[in-house]
Amino acid sequence: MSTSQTQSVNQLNQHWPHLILLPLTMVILIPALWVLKMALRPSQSFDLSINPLPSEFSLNNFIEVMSEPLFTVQIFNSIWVSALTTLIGVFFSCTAAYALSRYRFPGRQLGLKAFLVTQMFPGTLMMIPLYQVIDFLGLLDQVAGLVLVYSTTAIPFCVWNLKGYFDTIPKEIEESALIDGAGPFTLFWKIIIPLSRPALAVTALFSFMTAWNEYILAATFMNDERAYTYPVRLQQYVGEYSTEWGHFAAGAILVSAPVMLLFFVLQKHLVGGLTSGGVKG
Amino acid sequence: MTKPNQPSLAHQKNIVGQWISAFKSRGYLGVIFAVICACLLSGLGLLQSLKIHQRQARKALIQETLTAQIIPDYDQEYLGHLKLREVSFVPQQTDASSDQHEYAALSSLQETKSGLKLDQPEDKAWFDAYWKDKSEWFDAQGHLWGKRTLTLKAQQTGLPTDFQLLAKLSATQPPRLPWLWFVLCGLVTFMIAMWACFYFGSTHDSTQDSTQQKKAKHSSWSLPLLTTISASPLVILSCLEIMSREQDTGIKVAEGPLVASLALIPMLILGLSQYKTAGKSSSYRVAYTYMMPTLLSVGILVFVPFSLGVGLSFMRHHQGEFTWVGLSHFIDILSASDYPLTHPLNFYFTLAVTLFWTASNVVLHTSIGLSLALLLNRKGLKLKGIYRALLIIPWAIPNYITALIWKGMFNQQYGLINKFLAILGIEPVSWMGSFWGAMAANISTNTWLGFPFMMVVTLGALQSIPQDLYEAAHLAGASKWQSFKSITLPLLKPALLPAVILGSVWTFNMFNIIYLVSGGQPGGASDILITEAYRWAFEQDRYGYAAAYSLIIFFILLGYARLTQRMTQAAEEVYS
Repeated sequence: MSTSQTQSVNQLNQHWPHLILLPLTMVILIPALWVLKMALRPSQSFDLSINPLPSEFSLNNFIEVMSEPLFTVQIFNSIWVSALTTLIGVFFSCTAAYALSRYRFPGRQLGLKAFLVTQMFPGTLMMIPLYQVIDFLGLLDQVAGLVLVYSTTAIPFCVWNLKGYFDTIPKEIEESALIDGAGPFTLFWKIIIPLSRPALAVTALFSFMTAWNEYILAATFMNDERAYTYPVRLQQYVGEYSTEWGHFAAGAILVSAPVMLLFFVLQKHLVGGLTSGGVKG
Repeated sequence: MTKPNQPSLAHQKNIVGQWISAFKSRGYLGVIFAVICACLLSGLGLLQSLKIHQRQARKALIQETLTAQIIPDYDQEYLGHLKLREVSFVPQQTDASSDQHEYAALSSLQETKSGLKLDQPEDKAWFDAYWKDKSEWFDAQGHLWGKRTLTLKAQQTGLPTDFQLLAKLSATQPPRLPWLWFVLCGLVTFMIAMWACFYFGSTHDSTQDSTQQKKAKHSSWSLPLLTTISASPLVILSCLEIMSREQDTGIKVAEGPLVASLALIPMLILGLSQYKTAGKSSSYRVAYTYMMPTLLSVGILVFVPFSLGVGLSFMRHHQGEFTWVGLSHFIDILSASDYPLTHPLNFYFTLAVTLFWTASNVVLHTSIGLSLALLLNRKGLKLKGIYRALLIIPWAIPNYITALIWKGMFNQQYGLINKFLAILGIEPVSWMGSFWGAMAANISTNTWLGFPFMMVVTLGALQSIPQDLYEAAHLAGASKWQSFKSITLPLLKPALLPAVILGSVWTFNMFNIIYLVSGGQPGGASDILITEAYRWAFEQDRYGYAAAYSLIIFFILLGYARLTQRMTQAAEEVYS
């Protein structure tokens, strides 16, 4: 076998995945491109040509969506809810995951199972009683109510994810810190938290997404337009009474952009931080 | 434990000392937290008692108003929904040619919300004069209620005569509070706080001798017991209160002090577990301190609603009233006698659809995700980062947006899928017209948005497989397929299985996609269990039935989880 042949075989070996990946990526991207195209067209209908590349460039839809009287209020609601959810969800799940990972105590297995089981609660079963609880707490039409609900729904997954990561941190590090005289709380704040930044980032991202992308509960709990989170408003663009596809697409891009940005920024952590939740190191 | 009384007494004397010393010891964070929690809990009790009182006052007021002035077609609900300083006209039925008048009055009602100027001085004086002696009509929120025929006013505004004025004014009468609740809540707060302090405080037990251990063991359950006992009047009173409200319970039967009492459960569990662990290492207490915030919040907002939902499933809802029906919902659903097996509303039909939906999605997600990850993980692949970034995009788009867009794409007239098919020379398909079409739309939507998760999980797991394994396999003469089969797959398993299990549970309960893309078309055939339950609850108003439905869903998932738990080593490891 001549060297040139081996080289070409090598090249083929290296490049054949592109033959699959390239078309597949295109196919996957087409719906997203259509949204972009819709947003950049001045029309409100869905009628599009097959070509996914935008042919017109008009920012009208964006301007119209953003100049709505309640746009800033609703976006701000969304940001506020998501930020608080992230903060509370991550903090709570952090401490719980640490306890579940490092301590062996009665009720630990029960707790782990309980967190897993919450993932199976059907939303419809929860919605009416949840409404009652939130009403009972006097938090309907208030950001705090949504924050509470979102962070508690996000916590179980976050706990599992973080627990898996904490399990991979070698115990020797903590033991040596203990010898140096650190208490359990110093240990947690000064050693565990800094070490698990990637997992924390991913967990934070998921908490954020839970709140940022949710609209059914938000639509149920919020009756006042000023208390809406943005997804609730966005959904109305293509609701029963109107089909403003252009506005919807523009709003969708505005909503998706921050999440996408976060995804790209945290991409590296995403691969590491998520899987260690499943794998036992 | 020969003399149980003695250590208990000794301990009682010690409580205050321990309480104080608790702050000095390591667990003070837990102490502070527990106190805050306790205050929060009893605050809830207080709030609720206030609410109950308000409701009673409101009810009494409406009764009073009704008996004081007998008015035909008097609408309680309407009275309840009026807002502060809103004034409206209600036409009196005495007028013979009432149809036109009523219309005029109602349209003027719309206008009067902004048009009628009651803020003018003479109006105000008139109002003050009229309402002054009606101070007993204040309701619990301090609002003033009342009615009066307002002839003069109506003439002035050019409306037909004989209108009634229904008004609600703000006033500042403080609501009266039942003192008993104050006392009870205060007592509970105090007990819980004290117990919590003691509980988290005594972490200095590493050098305890045997007698002290004994003491700790005894006292450890005496305090939780005391807390429980002190909390029980709250619970009993709540139950009594709820029972006495039988008439207007409605859906609110579930709320109330009961919720606050239920929130005590985590506390009790902690207390019980402390009983089990007394005298052992203090690390338990640290662990519980860490668990506390999560336990409380998840307890209140996940497990309490869940148990309320379970309770709901035994009741039938009819126009705001709930009646106990026992297991009949479950029997109705599971026997599926109302509908033939092929009917979309038949439980087993829906179950089959759901299983089909879940299985096909999970298979598609996993296979696409796995193969993409394997491709992306190849060494020396160029543009790897860009591919990965682009392939993650579907995951980053909120799923309701995806669902709505795909719904548009599957539209028969202007949908892009049909346009694409037209290029290939295929007739436009009515996707939502047939069961398989609708399912195809649903599944392709969900596949599009779901595979990146699997891809990322697999990528991460692949990266954690040590490369030297492959090298060793290569040296041993293993083919690529062999090394994939005996290295990659077994090592991927522990990471993939939990992801697959979790993914299948999520798909099973994936509400957004089904509800938004196919919406159950045609005729509810493509509904899965969760959307079916939603329809029962929010389109048919059969909350109890829907709750029973949801509970069955939950048990199916639970059974599935147990099954997989037995099957997988990963899950076994998790539960170790």
